[in-house]
Amino acid sequence: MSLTQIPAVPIEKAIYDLEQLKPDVNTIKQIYPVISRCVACNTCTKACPQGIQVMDYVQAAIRGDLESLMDLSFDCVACGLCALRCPAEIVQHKVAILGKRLYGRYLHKDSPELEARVEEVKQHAFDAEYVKLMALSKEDLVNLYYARDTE
Amino acid sequence: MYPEYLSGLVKKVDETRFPRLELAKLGKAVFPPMKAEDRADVLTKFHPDYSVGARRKVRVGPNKGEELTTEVAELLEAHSMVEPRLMDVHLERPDYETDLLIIGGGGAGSWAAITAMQNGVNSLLVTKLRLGDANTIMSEGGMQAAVAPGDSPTRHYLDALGGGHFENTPELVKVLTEDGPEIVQELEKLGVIWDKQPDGSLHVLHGGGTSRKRMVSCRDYIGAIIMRTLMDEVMNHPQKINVREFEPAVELVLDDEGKCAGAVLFSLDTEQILTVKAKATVITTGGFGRLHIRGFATTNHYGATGDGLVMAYRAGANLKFMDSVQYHPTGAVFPEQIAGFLITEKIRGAGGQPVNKHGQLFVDPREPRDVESAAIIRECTERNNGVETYARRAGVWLDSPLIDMIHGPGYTQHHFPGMVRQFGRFGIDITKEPMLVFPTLHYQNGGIEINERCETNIPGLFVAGEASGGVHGRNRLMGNSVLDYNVFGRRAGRFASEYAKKAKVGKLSVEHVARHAKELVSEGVDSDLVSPIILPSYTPEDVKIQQLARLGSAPARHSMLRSRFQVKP
Repeated sequence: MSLTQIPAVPIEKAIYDLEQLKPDVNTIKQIYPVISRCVACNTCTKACPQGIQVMDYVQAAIRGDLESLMDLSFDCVACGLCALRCPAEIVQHKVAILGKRLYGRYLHKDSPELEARVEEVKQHAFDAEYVKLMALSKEDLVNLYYARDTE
Repeated sequence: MYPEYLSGLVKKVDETRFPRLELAKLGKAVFPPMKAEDRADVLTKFHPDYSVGARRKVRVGPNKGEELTTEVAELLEAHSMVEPRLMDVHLERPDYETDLLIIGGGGAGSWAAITAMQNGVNSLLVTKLRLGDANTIMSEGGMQAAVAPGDSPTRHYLDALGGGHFENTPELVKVLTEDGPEIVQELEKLGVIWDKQPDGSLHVLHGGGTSRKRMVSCRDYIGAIIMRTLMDEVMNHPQKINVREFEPAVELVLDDEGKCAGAVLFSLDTEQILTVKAKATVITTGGFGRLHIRGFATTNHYGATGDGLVMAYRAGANLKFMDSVQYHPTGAVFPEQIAGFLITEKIRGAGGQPVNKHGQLFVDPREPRDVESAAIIRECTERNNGVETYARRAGVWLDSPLIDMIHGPGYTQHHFPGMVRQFGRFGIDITKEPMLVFPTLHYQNGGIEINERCETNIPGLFVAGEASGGVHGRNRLMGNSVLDYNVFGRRAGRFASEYAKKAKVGKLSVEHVARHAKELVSEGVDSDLVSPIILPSYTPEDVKIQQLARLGSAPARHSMLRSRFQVKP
């Protein structure tokens, strides 16, 4: 079985610039005010082919709880069945992706190792080694490959 | 719960689990890894690429005379949907004019559109299905990127070369591995949620053929997370990126100097022919899983029919490594409803072991994919240690309950929600029972030849992602394709937009299509297939034979009125 977006469902996606947003409790409500119309009928949850607790994450969005929104909607494949069924015309999957992007961009802890590595690459720290590897004959490469240690 | 005829065999796996768990806890390889000569032996004897009839010479086009995968050769020797003599009106008044045309709405296409936009170039993105309805969203396990302190991009380079049997284009592997860490950072800036340790460092795992833990992940939904994020970003700029869905390209358009100058589209809604005039064109149409090569089930999505290959080939682009196909070692065999469904390699990265019907290990769980696949096929055929289902599929067990025993209860549920859900639908709890697996058609290793700027031998034509060839050689390692479409999609956007800023387009022409038709006649090619096939056909063979012309996967040979397509030279 495969899941895909249903063709031609009119869905209002809000336009925003992630860099201009702040991850606070009101952000989602400002961008998607429609979430306040949720009547907690649970139709979205029943429609979800992934078994996600959709109504619960809409409630998390209303509360501005981005972490719960992210965690509950993580497995969403953005098929849009929830939005198709919603009597309040909420676009659940679009709300979810906004919440996840805010979380990933602003609230997820940064990795100092990653920044260090990106900087190393920018400073050409590996260039000499690449040159050396690329100059090797196939035979030497094969020997090097099979002799390499494994973590 | 497995049915009775299988549950007895499941017990064998349960019985041998404890010693295998002890072995896994030692932290060394649980089965001796193969040496170079063992790998060569198992590959030549059991890999489907080496089976009788798997390859044949292609008779037309730039790679004429080269041995290619049979199904691919048939696709390349098929007729065009476009009749060049009727195209003049369309070419004089194109339906769309744009600076940059992007064909394909998956990860690479979205990246190209985003980067071009950042570079100040607006684009038209045309896609066969919907934006994001691509193999990208189906990827599960992870992406390789040398981000851990004990790792380095050059180590990644060596691993990727070894996995590809040292045939990969070195320059492409260099940029792939070098750009990796930056891609992780860029995606995080767009809002991708990587799996992390409490201190913020990235959670990394092993994949087949890796010498360091290098697989970054988003539970087992990496594709869904990345694709949804990229889609959201693309849709945030409707003024700069024009997305046309259900409008696949069927031919490229060249200009009088032989530069690529757009494409001919076929609207699936209105069945109209539309033309695009563009200063630069990027092909990001993905792979060919739906050709069901050698009759294998596939992990690929419905649109994976190799359309970009066909278009570019007719326009004169060279193909590389199109004689090799990647079979993923672990596709589902049972239940029948999900036969071919991808079981992520991360399962083996986290400690899952492939075992035969006696519950014995027979291969290192972390061999490169082609070697692992061939070893599983050997176990099920020559050694006859496979488990057969009532639907007459054979497979070996993938012992997943080990994962919770190694990492603690709840690990599988948290890190593999997709796997648990997919098998849970059929009443199989993978935290307690193993899965039955067999290799499944997964990836197009080769493709259209590109350089590190994503350029092809046709000026103005750029290719990125699975449609391109060279970076993986004849075998791709796990997690390198996710990295591939990110790295090269981004590069294609950058270099194609730079090119588009300067390019001038001459008079549009589809002369190359007429040339292809003539070549089919002069080479005596007798085909009733029309390609690109757009959507795969699951029509029974006897019906296919009676069809006027076929839009659908090979074979069949005798459609009625086949002669209608014979163009007089």
